[in-house]
Amino acid sequence: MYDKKTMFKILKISFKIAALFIIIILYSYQVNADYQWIQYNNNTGYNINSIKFKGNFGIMAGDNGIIKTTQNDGLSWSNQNSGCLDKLNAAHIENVDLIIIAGANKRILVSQDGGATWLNRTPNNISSQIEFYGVCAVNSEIWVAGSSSLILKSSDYGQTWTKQYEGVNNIKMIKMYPSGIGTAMGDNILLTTSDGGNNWSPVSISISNKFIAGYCLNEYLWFGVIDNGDNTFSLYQTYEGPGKWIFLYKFNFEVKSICFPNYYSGWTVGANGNIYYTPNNPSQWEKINIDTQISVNLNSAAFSNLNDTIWVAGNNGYYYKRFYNYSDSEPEFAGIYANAGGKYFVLTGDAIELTSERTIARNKQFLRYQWSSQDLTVSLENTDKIKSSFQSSEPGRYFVKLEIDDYGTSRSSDYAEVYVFDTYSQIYSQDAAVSGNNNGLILNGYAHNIDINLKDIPEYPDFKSVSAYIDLKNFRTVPHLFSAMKINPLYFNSVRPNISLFDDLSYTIVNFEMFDYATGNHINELSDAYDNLKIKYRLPPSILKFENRRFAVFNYDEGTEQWTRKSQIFLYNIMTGLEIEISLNNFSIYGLFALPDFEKQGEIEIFPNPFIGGDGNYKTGRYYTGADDGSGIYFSGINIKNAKIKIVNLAGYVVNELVNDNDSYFQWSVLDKKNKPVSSGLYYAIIESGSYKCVKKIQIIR
Amino acid sequence: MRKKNTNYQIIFAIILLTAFSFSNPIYSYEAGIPLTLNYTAEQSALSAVTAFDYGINGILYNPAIARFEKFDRNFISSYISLPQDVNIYYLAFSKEFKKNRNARYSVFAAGIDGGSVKQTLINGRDLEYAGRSSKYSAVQFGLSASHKINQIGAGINIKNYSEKISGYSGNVWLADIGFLYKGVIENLDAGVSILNLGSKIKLNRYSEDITRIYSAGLKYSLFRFDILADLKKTGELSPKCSLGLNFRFDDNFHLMAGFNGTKNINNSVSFGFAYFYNSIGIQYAYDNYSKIGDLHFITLSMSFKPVLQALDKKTDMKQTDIDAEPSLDSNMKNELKKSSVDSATKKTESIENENAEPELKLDYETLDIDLLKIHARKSFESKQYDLAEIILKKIVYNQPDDIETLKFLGDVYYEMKDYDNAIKCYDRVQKFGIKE
Repeated sequence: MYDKKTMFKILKISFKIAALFIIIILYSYQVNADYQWIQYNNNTGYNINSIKFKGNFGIMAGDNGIIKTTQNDGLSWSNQNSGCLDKLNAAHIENVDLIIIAGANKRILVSQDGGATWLNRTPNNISSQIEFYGVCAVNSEIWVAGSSSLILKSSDYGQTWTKQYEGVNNIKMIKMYPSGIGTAMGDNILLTTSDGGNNWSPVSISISNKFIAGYCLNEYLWFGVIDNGDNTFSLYQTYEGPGKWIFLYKFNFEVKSICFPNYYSGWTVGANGNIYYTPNNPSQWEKINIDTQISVNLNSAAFSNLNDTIWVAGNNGYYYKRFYNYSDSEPEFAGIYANAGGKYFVLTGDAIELTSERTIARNKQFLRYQWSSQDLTVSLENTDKIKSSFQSSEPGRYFVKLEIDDYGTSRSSDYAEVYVFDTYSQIYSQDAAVSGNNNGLILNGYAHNIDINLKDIPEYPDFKSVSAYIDLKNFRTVPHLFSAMKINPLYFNSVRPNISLFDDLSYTIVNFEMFDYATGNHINELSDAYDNLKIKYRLPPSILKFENRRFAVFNYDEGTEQWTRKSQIFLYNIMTGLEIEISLNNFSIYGLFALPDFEKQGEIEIFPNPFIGGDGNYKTGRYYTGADDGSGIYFSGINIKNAKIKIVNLAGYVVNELVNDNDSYFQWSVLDKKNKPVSSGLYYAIIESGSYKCVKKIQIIR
Repeated sequence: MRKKNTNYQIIFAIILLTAFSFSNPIYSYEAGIPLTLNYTAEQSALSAVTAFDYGINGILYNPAIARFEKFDRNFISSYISLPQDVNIYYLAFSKEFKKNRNARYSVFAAGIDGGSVKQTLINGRDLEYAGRSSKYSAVQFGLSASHKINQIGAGINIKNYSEKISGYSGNVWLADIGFLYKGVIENLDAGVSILNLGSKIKLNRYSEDITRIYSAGLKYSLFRFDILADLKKTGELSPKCSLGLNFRFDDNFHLMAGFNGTKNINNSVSFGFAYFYNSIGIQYAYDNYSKIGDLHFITLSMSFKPVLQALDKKTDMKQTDIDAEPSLDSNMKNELKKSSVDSATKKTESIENENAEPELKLDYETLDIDLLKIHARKSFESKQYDLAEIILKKIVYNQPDDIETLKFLGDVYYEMKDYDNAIKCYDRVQKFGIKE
């Protein structure tokens, strides 16, 4: 054994090594220490009901008249003398020369010197039972709101007050904008004003209006938390004005405060130490744990220092702060790419739904839409909705303008191209058959021909066999939708990357509605009479982009919402073009599609690769938005069904493991296992499905 | 007897560190992943190299280690083949400072050619081919300096890292620091390093943190084995333990195996070998990324100096040092081992104690004393006192009664202003004179 001296030396050295290890580990964590919650206590034990920041200046107000202020982003807090022992509920910092606090016993305090001294501005001519819960200011004008639906306004820093509204409910929150638009939310009450509060109007909404917390992001976008009465609390948001609220999320704790530093990053705090935040989308929230054993009710949350430090205050004098880096999770794309849906085809007199569902934006539900047409023959309905109804009685080509904005600075516009035609009028008789040469199909300004032959069938003298010949000889740019009746835009959404390679080709949908020219009778739903129904496509030669591409005719099953291949696969020949003719069993929706390359080789395709999320070019990738809208990275191919995908970095570390539960493609969020954006670099993707296995490289640029 | 005792503390420490490796990772890597890769075969095969004092191999994982270069190698080069046409190249040149042999400087450069991918675009939700390729590459280069004071070495790297993906590029200046404490207790070395200190890299829109590596390691030598353990925190991952085992099969041939706790694509075991022949060394390591494919590491190293200069074997050579000494042939090593085992305390006593006759007398045919004296004289005249000291100590070790050499060694110490040792040498010469 070692002697004592040696043992002591060993122990001493062991301690040094252990200390060194600990220091290294602690230091490594210290680097991210700002991301941890730091707990403070105001030493009084009184509840803190409101915390507010403006830049580095912050204020806390709570029970027993406590007020604390900071001038340095919370590095140090100073106790201020409020001159009262009332429960202070709400604070507002307009600027350092105007800070207002309101609370129980109709208490209103105003400071005009950065919170150093507080003037008692309690109104005299109202009941002392009034308790104020909300306060706001615009320049030198102040509004306070509280019990008895009371809203008071002062234009002289609180020296005199004017009653603007009174009722029977409790108003929990009030917000006013320089434009005069404002709102007040509370228990069974929602008021709006557009004239600075001179006139407040109750708003009737379809949901419960038992608001317990609210936040106004701007003059149009408001968030409200509603008590459902069953210990759950639902977050809603306005759209298309204050009268329309849309459900976002249900919390299982009593929400006390909600704030949104920006639209895509919101925070809620409430009972039992609950803190939730949304890193991307206000309809998706994650619980955040405060690293403490104390589980107090949290009453207020606010951001300081350029919105990168969140402060949370609660009961028993506890308050917390944490640094939050928005770049960790905030999707970069904040603009709007309006998409009016491209081309539409409709018969005269029929209505078709124009849709802007393909618009790219971070949350399409909260955009403002405007459809318009300068043509007087066009009838548009729902012009302020995502989908608008179009109708025209005159054949022709129409442009419908779509304008979208987010009630703010982001706006975008696009045009829908609507072709209106009348097939019936173009079909004429020819000998024993009825053939149609439909010149009414106006595509890209060019007429295209469809020859339709109706032949007598002796066994069924009343019916005809039909073949349709679709000649794309006037192909100009790309083939487009050929239709003889209305097309449901829903079909477009079912076109998946594993079928169509090109936006344009995905619209080669054919749906015929046939008429007997002689009688004018509508021929449909009589499939047994049309067992000789044929359809023929022809692509002209010399289209370079189709060289060596394979094509097939697909049929859309409205029941399963799937496209299935109905024809053999044909190779496009640059010299001779392509001609496909198939027999049909029934009237339906058919389309000519180019087949992706991966089907040919069974290979998995990954796109976009490299993924470049922040270059503004949506073709090279967009940060994942949570929707299946072309954001993130897609994997597709015939072997992607039920595939397991491992994303591995160059160091052999598995960044994420994914399982595809989709048949035809897989969308990866470009996040790792912890939903953190994957760093820029080179990655391997291992894709396994049954006996199939492949390894691909993915380049990612953030 | 003492060597038969078990180092429970060490075993406990290794078990503790190993436990870390089985904890689940908390977070993920940050940017600059190429900075976290292994750049030499030895590093890959052993996995835990923070305290592995094999010289210039260690520049990129603990810059302090460079100073402990045993074979006086100046040059090291690696080629690493990763799956899917990803290749890594590494070059480093290292040299002692002329005026201070306790310090060493190095320059290094490493690059990754990540090959290319056929660029694809997304159109709506559809695939579109861009008709071009997109390439990936990353480069780091920099300067390294290391210094040794007694048993402790310290080192620092200043390096520039750049990454280029599909035309988007960014670069950042970074620093690595490291320490190595040799002989914490007998046969135990400890090292720590922090790699990739610096700012962020911005390739496109975001500035991204570089993946830092905090590492602390131990090396314990037992017979022909070096047992290695590292506790490593990579990026935002939780700390992980890596283990390594170096088996010195004979003087020139080492077998290595390692367990990389950070890598989780597979069982994380790698292995390799190293072979040294005179001033040239070759290392190979094999690793794999499971279904992605195999990794092959080939590292070459060499010395630009004469073999003679590799005789930097102090009289207090440890057994491990003797094993690793390529310039000595097997017989010499065996003899030196005997000597070092039996007279561990002898060390410099051959100078201090005239009665402490060295039990070992080397065969003069294997060590040309006259030639050594010539070299010592030349070194002295060219003011390479450090080198002269080494050579003369070697002669004195084998010929303790060589008064002339003793006096010469005293002169060398005098010129080096090491008056204590100079006086010892002169005193001893004087005592020999009185004796005679």
